[in-house]
Amino acid sequence: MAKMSQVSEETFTQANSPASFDTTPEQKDQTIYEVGFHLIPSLGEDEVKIAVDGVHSMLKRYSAEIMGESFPQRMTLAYRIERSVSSKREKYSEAYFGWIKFKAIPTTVPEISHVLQSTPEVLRFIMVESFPEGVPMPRRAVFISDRLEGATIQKPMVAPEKSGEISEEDLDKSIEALVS
Amino acid sequence: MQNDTYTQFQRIDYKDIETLKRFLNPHGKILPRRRTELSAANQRALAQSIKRARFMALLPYIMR
Repeated sequence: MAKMSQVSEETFTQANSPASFDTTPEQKDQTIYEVGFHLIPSLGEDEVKIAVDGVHSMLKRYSAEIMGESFPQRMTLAYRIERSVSSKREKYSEAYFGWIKFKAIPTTVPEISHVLQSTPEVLRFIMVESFPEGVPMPRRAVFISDRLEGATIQKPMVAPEKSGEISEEDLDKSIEALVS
Repeated sequence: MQNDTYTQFQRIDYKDIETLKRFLNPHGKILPRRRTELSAANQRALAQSIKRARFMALLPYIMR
């Protein structure tokens, strides 16, 4: 176990060193991303913490600003995940699931993904574009046409019907005519 | 002015499994729009989130 965590730290420190990353981070060019990941269940509590710290330090090396996170929790997977590591098939039906929300420059995201992919503790991960906390979902703006501005269109006036006076005889005649 | 276009609507998230499960049939398939009664945009967002959750093994691809 200890050996595995050492390997992960080396992976985070060696792989894709930010020497090739020369762009200066600017606040306006940064986008919010979220990475959700599964860590292998054979890790102990301490090793999970080391792995998460490794992800943190890796993100910081790419000038990413961490905005929120959920510490990995052990969970049962909906289906068995299989992967082959050094010609050996590994099957997992449990994993530690956690996520980290961060702000980064879009050009660094493929490199971050590559580092995560080459980390043996990370069973599977997903990188998605996210949104800041507490900001409600925008609704589509509704624009009113200029043509409708001006005087309100009035409902056409209909002359009220006059109630005529009909005698009972005429009424009976008309009823008989309808019946017959 | 821009704030007027913002209202308190919950976003669909791939991690919100309990909500996503409500939009699956007993076989684990995504319910059609005529059943979910969502707008086209929200139905697309829902489908996207369910597919992400399936990839992350938070939701199964098939049930039963």
